[in-house]
Amino acid sequence: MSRKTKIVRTVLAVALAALAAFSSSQFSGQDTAVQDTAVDASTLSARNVVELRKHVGQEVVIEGKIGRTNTSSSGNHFLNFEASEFTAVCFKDDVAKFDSGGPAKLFDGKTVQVSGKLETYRGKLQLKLTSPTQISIVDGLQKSVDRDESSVSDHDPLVDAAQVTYLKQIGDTHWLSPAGLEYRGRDPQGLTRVEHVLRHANDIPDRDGSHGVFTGGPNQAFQTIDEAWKLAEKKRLKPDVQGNRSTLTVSMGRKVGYLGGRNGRQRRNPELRKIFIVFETDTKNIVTAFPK
Amino acid sequence: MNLAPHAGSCPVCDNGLLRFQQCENCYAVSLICDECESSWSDVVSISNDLSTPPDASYPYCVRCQANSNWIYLNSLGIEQAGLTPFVRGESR
Repeated sequence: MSRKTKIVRTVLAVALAALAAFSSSQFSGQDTAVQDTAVDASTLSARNVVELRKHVGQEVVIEGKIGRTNTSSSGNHFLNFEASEFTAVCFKDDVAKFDSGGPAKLFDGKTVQVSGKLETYRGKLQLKLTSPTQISIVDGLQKSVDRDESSVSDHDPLVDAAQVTYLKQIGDTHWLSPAGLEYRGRDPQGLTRVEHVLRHANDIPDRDGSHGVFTGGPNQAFQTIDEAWKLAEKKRLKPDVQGNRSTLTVSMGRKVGYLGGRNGRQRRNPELRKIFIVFETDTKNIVTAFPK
Repeated sequence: MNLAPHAGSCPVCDNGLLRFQQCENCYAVSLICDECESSWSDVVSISNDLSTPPDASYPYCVRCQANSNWIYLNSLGIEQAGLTPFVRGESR
Protein backbone atom coordinates (compact mmCIF):
# COMPACT_ATOMS: atom_id res chain seq x y z
CA MET A 1 0.00 0.00 0.00
CA SER A 2 1.40 3.40 -0.95
CA ARG A 3 2.04 6.09 1.66
CA LYS A 4 -0.64 8.26 0.04
CA THR A 5 -3.22 5.46 0.26
CA LYS A 6 -2.34 4.89 3.93
CA ILE A 7 -2.86 8.55 4.72
CA VAL A 8 -6.22 8.59 2.93
CA ARG A 9 -7.33 5.48 4.86
CA THR A 10 -6.23 6.99 8.15
CA VAL A 11 -8.09 10.24 7.47
CA LEU A 12 -11.22 8.29 6.51
CA ALA A 13 -10.99 6.14 9.66
CA VAL A 14 -10.66 9.20 11.90
CA ALA A 15 -13.59 10.89 10.15
CA LEU A 16 -15.75 7.77 10.55
CA ALA A 17 -14.84 7.50 14.24
CA ALA A 18 -15.70 11.16 14.80
CA LEU A 19 -19.02 10.71 12.97
CA ALA A 20 -19.80 7.62 15.07
CA ALA A 21 -19.01 9.49 18.29
CA PHE A 22 -21.18 12.42 17.16
CA SER A 23 -24.09 10.10 16.27
CA SER A 24 -23.77 8.32 19.60
CA SER A 25 -23.90 11.57 21.53
CA GLN A 26 -26.93 12.71 19.55
CA PHE A 27 -29.06 9.60 19.81
CA SER A 28 -28.00 7.73 22.94
CA GLY A 29 -29.34 9.40 26.04
CA GLN A 30 -27.74 6.72 28.18
CA ASP A 31 -24.23 7.88 27.44
CA THR A 32 -24.51 11.62 27.56
CA ALA A 33 -23.59 11.72 31.24
CA VAL A 34 -20.11 10.42 30.59
CA GLN A 35 -19.26 11.86 27.19
CA ASP A 36 -16.83 14.65 27.88
CA THR A 37 -13.65 12.74 28.50
CA ALA A 38 -14.16 10.59 25.41
CA VAL A 39 -13.22 13.45 23.11
CA ASP A 40 -9.76 14.01 24.53
CA ALA A 41 -9.14 10.48 25.80
CA SER A 42 -5.73 9.22 24.75
CA THR A 43 -4.96 5.59 24.14
CA LEU A 44 -5.78 3.43 27.15
CA SER A 45 -3.90 0.32 28.14
CA ALA A 46 -5.91 -2.92 28.17
CA ARG A 47 -4.07 -3.91 31.32
CA ASN A 48 -5.20 -0.89 33.27
CA VAL A 49 -8.64 -2.22 34.19
CA VAL A 50 -9.14 0.39 36.88
CA GLU A 51 -8.75 3.17 34.31
CA LEU A 52 -10.82 1.34 31.69
CA ARG A 53 -13.76 1.02 34.07
CA LYS A 54 -13.91 4.79 34.31
CA HIS A 55 -14.53 4.99 30.56
CA VAL A 56 -17.45 2.56 30.30
CA GLY A 57 -20.04 4.05 27.96
CA GLN A 58 -17.48 6.17 26.15
CA GLU A 59 -15.80 5.97 22.74
CA VAL A 60 -12.23 4.87 23.47
CA VAL A 61 -9.01 3.64 21.91
CA ILE A 62 -7.48 0.71 23.78
CA GLU A 63 -4.10 -0.85 23.17
CA GLY A 64 -2.86 -4.22 24.34
CA LYS A 65 -1.66 -7.67 23.39
CA ILE A 66 -4.15 -10.36 22.44
CA GLY A 67 -3.31 -13.22 24.79
CA ARG A 68 -5.92 -15.68 23.59
CA THR A 69 -8.62 -15.87 20.96
CA ASN A 70 -11.54 -18.19 20.56
CA THR A 71 -14.53 -18.76 18.32
CA SER A 72 -17.87 -19.77 19.77
CA SER A 73 -20.00 -22.55 18.29
CA SER A 74 -22.30 -19.86 16.92
CA GLY A 75 -19.42 -18.22 15.04
CA ASN A 76 -18.69 -15.22 17.24
CA HIS A 77 -15.00 -14.28 17.62
CA PHE A 78 -13.48 -13.24 20.94
CA LEU A 79 -10.15 -11.45 21.38
CA ASN A 80 -9.04 -11.75 25.00
CA PHE A 81 -6.40 -9.24 26.01
CA GLU A 82 -3.38 -10.40 27.97
CA ALA A 83 -3.42 -9.72 31.75
CA SER A 84 -6.83 -8.11 31.50
CA GLU A 85 -10.51 -8.87 31.76
CA PHE A 86 -11.07 -6.78 28.63
CA THR A 87 -12.36 -8.59 25.53
CA ALA A 88 -13.10 -7.42 22.01
CA VAL A 89 -15.97 -9.37 20.50
CA CYS A 90 -16.89 -9.68 16.82
CA PHE A 91 -20.30 -11.19 16.21
CA LYS A 92 -20.87 -13.75 13.47
CA ASP A 93 -22.51 -11.32 11.04
CA ASP A 94 -19.51 -8.99 11.20
CA VAL A 95 -16.78 -11.64 10.99
CA ALA A 96 -17.14 -11.82 7.21
CA LYS A 97 -16.08 -8.17 6.92
CA PHE A 98 -12.57 -9.20 7.99
CA ASP A 99 -9.99 -11.03 5.88
CA SER A 100 -10.01 -14.82 5.78
CA GLY A 101 -9.90 -16.41 9.20
CA GLY A 102 -11.61 -13.45 10.82
CA PRO A 103 -10.36 -11.47 13.83
CA ALA A 104 -9.61 -14.55 15.93
CA LYS A 105 -6.99 -15.73 13.44
CA LEU A 106 -5.78 -12.34 12.19
CA PHE A 107 -4.94 -10.85 15.56
CA ASP A 108 -4.03 -13.81 17.79
CA GLY A 109 -0.86 -12.92 19.73
CA LYS A 110 -0.64 -9.46 18.16
CA THR A 111 -0.44 -6.14 19.92
CA VAL A 112 -3.36 -4.11 18.63
CA GLN A 113 -5.31 -0.92 19.05
CA VAL A 114 -9.09 -1.20 19.06
CA SER A 115 -11.52 1.68 19.00
CA GLY A 116 -15.21 1.90 19.76
CA LYS A 117 -17.64 2.12 22.61
CA LEU A 118 -16.48 0.48 25.82
CA GLU A 119 -19.24 -1.55 27.47
CA THR A 120 -19.68 -4.19 30.12
CA TYR A 121 -21.21 -7.61 29.64
CA ARG A 122 -21.96 -9.60 32.78
CA GLY A 123 -19.65 -7.24 34.63
CA LYS A 124 -16.69 -7.74 32.27
CA LEU A 125 -15.30 -5.07 29.99
CA GLN A 126 -15.99 -5.51 26.30
CA LEU A 127 -15.89 -3.66 23.03
CA LYS A 128 -17.82 -4.73 19.93
CA LEU A 129 -15.89 -4.97 16.68
CA THR A 130 -18.27 -4.33 13.81
CA SER A 131 -15.74 -3.11 11.24
CA PRO A 132 -12.07 -3.78 10.37
CA THR A 133 -11.46 -0.03 10.68
CA GLN A 134 -11.79 -0.43 14.46
CA ILE A 135 -8.67 -2.55 14.89
CA SER A 136 -5.06 -2.26 13.79
CA ILE A 137 -1.84 -4.05 14.63
CA VAL A 138 0.64 -1.83 16.46
CA ASP A 139 3.45 -4.25 17.33
CA GLY A 140 6.49 -2.19 18.22
CA LEU A 141 4.43 0.66 19.65
CA GLN A 142 3.57 -1.10 22.91
CA LYS A 143 6.24 0.82 24.78
CA SER A 144 4.25 4.02 24.48
CA VAL A 145 1.46 2.54 26.55
CA ASP A 146 3.90 0.91 28.98
CA ARG A 147 5.43 4.31 29.54
CA ASP A 148 2.00 5.79 30.21
CA GLU A 149 1.34 3.05 32.76
CA SER A 150 4.62 3.56 34.56
CA SER A 151 3.99 7.27 34.80
CA VAL A 152 0.58 6.51 36.30
CA SER A 153 2.11 4.11 38.80
CA ASP A 154 4.58 6.81 39.84
CA HIS A 155 1.58 8.63 41.24
CA ASP A 156 -0.50 5.64 42.25
CA PRO A 157 0.77 3.73 45.25
CA LEU A 158 -1.07 0.56 44.30
CA VAL A 159 0.93 -2.48 45.39
CA ASP A 160 0.88 -5.61 43.23
CA ALA A 161 -1.23 -8.33 44.88
CA ALA A 162 1.40 -10.86 43.79
CA GLN A 163 3.65 -9.50 46.54
CA VAL A 164 1.26 -10.82 49.16
CA THR A 165 2.51 -14.29 50.07
CA TYR A 166 0.76 -14.31 53.45
CA LEU A 167 -2.59 -15.03 51.79
CA LYS A 168 -3.48 -18.12 49.83
CA GLN A 169 -4.98 -17.35 46.43
CA ILE A 170 -7.79 -19.77 45.67
CA GLY A 171 -9.32 -18.09 42.63
CA ASP A 172 -8.81 -15.22 40.19
CA THR A 173 -10.26 -12.74 42.66
CA HIS A 174 -10.39 -14.81 45.81
CA TRP A 175 -7.84 -15.06 48.64
CA LEU A 176 -7.94 -16.74 52.04
CA SER A 177 -6.00 -15.75 55.15
CA PRO A 178 -4.66 -18.11 57.83
CA ALA A 179 -7.37 -16.75 60.19
CA GLY A 180 -10.03 -17.73 57.66
CA LEU A 181 -10.74 -14.22 56.39
CA GLU A 182 -11.80 -14.10 52.76
CA TYR A 183 -10.92 -11.41 50.25
CA ARG A 184 -13.15 -11.99 47.22
CA GLY A 185 -14.57 -10.06 44.31
CA ARG A 186 -13.86 -6.53 43.20
CA ASP A 187 -14.54 -3.02 44.45
CA PRO A 188 -16.34 -0.29 42.46
CA GLN A 189 -13.07 0.71 40.79
CA GLY A 190 -12.44 -2.83 39.60
CA LEU A 191 -9.71 -3.53 42.14
CA THR A 192 -9.64 -6.93 43.81
CA ARG A 193 -10.23 -6.92 47.56
CA VAL A 194 -6.53 -7.53 48.11
CA GLU A 195 -5.58 -4.60 45.89
CA HIS A 196 -8.21 -2.51 47.66
CA VAL A 197 -6.64 -3.18 51.08
CA LEU A 198 -3.17 -2.69 49.62
CA ARG A 199 -4.02 0.96 48.90
CA HIS A 200 -3.34 1.27 52.62
CA ALA A 201 0.15 -0.20 52.33
CA ASN A 202 1.34 3.25 51.23
CA ASP A 203 0.33 6.83 51.86
CA ILE A 204 -1.57 8.87 49.28
CA PRO A 205 -0.53 12.31 50.55
CA ASP A 206 -2.68 14.26 48.10
CA ARG A 207 -5.86 12.31 48.78
CA ASP A 208 -8.55 14.41 50.41
CA GLY A 209 -9.42 13.49 53.99
CA SER A 210 -7.84 10.73 56.04
CA HIS A 211 -5.98 7.69 54.79
CA GLY A 212 -4.82 5.07 57.30
CA VAL A 213 -1.50 3.51 56.32
CA PHE A 214 -0.16 0.19 57.60
CA THR A 215 3.38 -0.04 58.85
CA GLY A 216 5.44 -3.08 57.89
CA GLY A 217 4.56 -3.57 54.23
CA PRO A 218 1.97 -5.59 52.30
CA ASN A 219 2.29 -8.96 54.07
CA GLN A 220 2.38 -7.38 57.51
CA ALA A 221 -0.84 -5.54 56.67
CA PHE A 222 -2.77 -8.76 56.20
CA GLN A 223 -1.12 -10.34 59.23
CA THR A 224 -2.23 -7.37 61.32
CA ILE A 225 -5.81 -7.67 60.02
CA ASP A 226 -5.83 -11.37 60.97
CA GLU A 227 -4.51 -10.48 64.39
CA ALA A 228 -7.18 -7.81 64.83
CA TRP A 229 -9.93 -10.21 63.80
CA LYS A 230 -8.76 -12.87 66.26
CA LEU A 231 -8.50 -10.25 68.99
CA ALA A 232 -12.06 -9.11 68.29
CA GLU A 233 -13.26 -12.71 68.56
CA LYS A 234 -11.33 -13.23 71.78
CA LYS A 235 -12.73 -10.05 73.32
CA ARG A 236 -16.16 -10.76 71.84
CA LEU A 237 -16.36 -7.30 70.33
CA LYS A 238 -19.77 -6.51 68.96
CA PRO A 239 -19.68 -5.30 65.36
CA ASP A 240 -21.59 -2.22 64.26
CA VAL A 241 -24.13 -3.66 61.81
CA GLN A 242 -25.61 -1.56 59.02
CA GLY A 243 -27.55 -3.85 56.72
CA ASN A 244 -25.25 -6.27 54.96
CA ARG A 245 -22.13 -4.36 56.02
CA SER A 246 -20.61 -4.57 59.49
CA THR A 247 -17.63 -2.82 61.00
CA LEU A 248 -15.24 -3.56 63.84
CA THR A 249 -12.80 -1.17 65.48
CA VAL A 250 -10.08 -3.10 67.29
CA SER A 251 -7.55 -1.52 69.65
CA MET A 252 -4.23 -3.24 69.04
CA GLY A 253 -2.29 -1.78 71.99
CA ARG A 254 0.61 -0.71 69.79
CA LYS A 255 1.33 1.33 66.72
CA VAL A 256 0.00 -0.45 63.62
CA GLY A 257 0.11 2.43 61.20
CA TYR A 258 -0.05 6.14 60.72
CA LEU A 259 -2.51 8.72 59.45
CA GLY A 260 -1.89 9.65 55.82
CA GLY A 261 -3.79 11.60 53.20
CA ARG A 262 -4.18 15.38 53.38
CA ASN A 263 -5.45 15.21 56.96
CA GLY A 264 -2.44 13.13 57.97
CA ARG A 265 -0.01 15.50 56.31
CA GLN A 266 -1.56 18.48 58.07
CA ARG A 267 -1.25 16.67 61.40
CA ARG A 268 2.30 15.40 60.74
CA ASN A 269 1.20 11.81 60.24
CA PRO A 270 0.33 10.76 63.80
CA GLU A 271 0.54 7.08 64.68
CA LEU A 272 -2.55 4.90 64.64
CA ARG A 273 -3.17 2.06 67.10
CA LYS A 274 -6.52 0.65 65.96
CA ILE A 275 -7.62 -1.47 63.02
CA PHE A 276 -10.94 -0.71 61.35
CA ILE A 277 -12.46 -3.69 59.54
CA VAL A 278 -15.45 -3.59 57.19
CA PHE A 279 -16.94 -6.96 56.33
CA GLU A 280 -20.11 -8.47 54.95
CA THR A 281 -22.46 -9.05 57.87
CA ASP A 282 -22.33 -12.55 59.39
CA THR A 283 -19.45 -13.62 57.14
CA LYS A 284 -15.67 -13.44 57.09
CA ASN A 285 -15.71 -11.66 53.72
CA ILE A 286 -13.56 -8.57 54.09
CA VAL A 287 -14.59 -5.42 52.23
CA THR A 288 -11.71 -3.31 53.50
CA ALA A 289 -9.49 -2.86 56.55
CA PHE A 290 -7.01 -0.18 57.57
CA PRO A 291 -5.38 1.48 60.57
CA LYS A 292 -7.50 4.09 62.28
CA MET B 1 -7.50 6.49 40.55
CA ASN B 2 -7.08 9.84 38.81
CA LEU B 3 -8.68 13.00 40.12
CA ALA B 4 -12.44 12.51 40.39
CA PRO B 5 -15.19 14.57 42.00
CA HIS B 6 -16.45 13.61 45.42
CA ALA B 7 -19.07 14.78 47.89
CA GLY B 8 -16.87 14.70 50.98
CA SER B 9 -15.59 12.12 53.42
CA CYS B 10 -17.58 9.04 54.33
CA PRO B 11 -19.24 9.32 57.77
CA VAL B 12 -19.15 5.53 58.20
CA CYS B 13 -15.45 4.79 57.78
CA ASP B 14 -13.87 8.27 57.72
CA ASN B 15 -11.30 7.07 55.17
CA GLY B 16 -13.42 6.94 52.05
CA LEU B 17 -14.66 9.64 49.70
CA LEU B 18 -18.25 9.66 48.52
CA ARG B 19 -18.27 9.24 44.75
CA PHE B 20 -21.10 10.04 42.37
CA GLN B 21 -22.04 6.81 40.65
CA GLN B 22 -24.83 5.99 38.25
CA CYS B 23 -26.66 2.68 38.08
CA GLU B 24 -26.23 1.17 34.63
CA ASN B 25 -29.78 -0.21 34.69
CA CYS B 26 -31.98 2.61 35.99
CA TYR B 27 -29.53 5.58 35.70
CA ALA B 28 -30.22 6.59 39.31
CA VAL B 29 -27.28 8.38 40.92
CA SER B 30 -26.05 7.33 44.35
CA LEU B 31 -23.14 8.43 46.49
CA ILE B 32 -20.94 5.39 47.13
CA CYS B 33 -17.95 5.41 49.47
CA ASP B 34 -14.83 4.37 47.59
CA GLU B 35 -13.46 2.76 50.77
CA CYS B 36 -16.21 0.93 52.70
CA GLU B 37 -18.75 0.96 49.85
CA SER B 38 -21.64 2.29 51.89
CA SER B 39 -24.20 3.77 49.53
CA TRP B 40 -26.72 6.61 49.79
CA SER B 41 -29.42 6.85 47.15
CA ASP B 42 -30.55 10.24 48.48
CA VAL B 43 -27.68 12.53 47.57
CA VAL B 44 -29.35 15.59 49.04
CA SER B 45 -30.03 14.06 52.46
CA ILE B 46 -26.53 12.72 53.08
CA SER B 47 -24.99 15.96 51.82
CA ASN B 48 -27.08 18.03 54.19
CA ASP B 49 -26.89 15.66 57.15
CA LEU B 50 -23.87 13.38 57.58
CA SER B 51 -25.70 11.36 60.22
CA THR B 52 -28.03 10.00 57.53
CA PRO B 53 -27.42 6.24 57.53
CA PRO B 54 -26.56 4.50 54.25
CA ASP B 55 -29.51 2.73 52.67
CA ALA B 56 -27.47 0.15 50.75
CA SER B 57 -24.01 -1.16 50.02
CA TYR B 58 -22.28 -1.49 46.66
CA PRO B 59 -23.31 -3.07 44.31
CA TYR B 60 -26.96 -2.99 45.42
CA CYS B 61 -29.21 -0.42 43.77
CA VAL B 62 -32.10 0.68 45.96
CA ARG B 63 -34.21 1.70 43.01
CA CYS B 64 -33.63 -1.50 41.00
CA GLN B 65 -33.85 -3.64 44.15
CA ALA B 66 -30.96 -5.67 42.77
CA ASN B 67 -27.20 -5.72 42.43
CA SER B 68 -26.08 -3.55 39.55
CA ASN B 69 -23.10 -2.27 37.60
CA TRP B 70 -22.18 1.32 38.41
CA ILE B 71 -20.53 4.02 36.34
CA TYR B 72 -18.39 6.76 37.86
CA LEU B 73 -19.81 10.14 36.92
CA ASN B 74 -17.41 12.83 35.83
CA SER B 75 -18.07 16.56 36.23
CA LEU B 76 -20.29 16.73 33.16
CA GLY B 77 -22.36 13.75 34.26
CA ILE B 78 -22.77 15.27 37.71
CA GLU B 79 -23.81 18.57 36.15
CA GLN B 80 -26.36 16.86 33.91
CA ALA B 81 -27.77 15.11 36.95
CA GLY B 82 -28.17 18.51 38.62
CA LEU B 83 -25.83 17.53 41.45
CA THR B 84 -22.93 19.95 40.96
CA PRO B 85 -23.80 21.88 44.18
CA PHE B 86 -22.97 18.74 46.13
CA VAL B 87 -19.41 18.39 44.81
CA ARG B 88 -16.97 19.11 47.65
CA GLY B 89 -13.74 18.55 45.79
CA GLU B 90 -11.70 16.43 43.39
CA SER B 91 -9.28 13.84 44.61
CA ARG B 92 -7.72 10.47 43.91
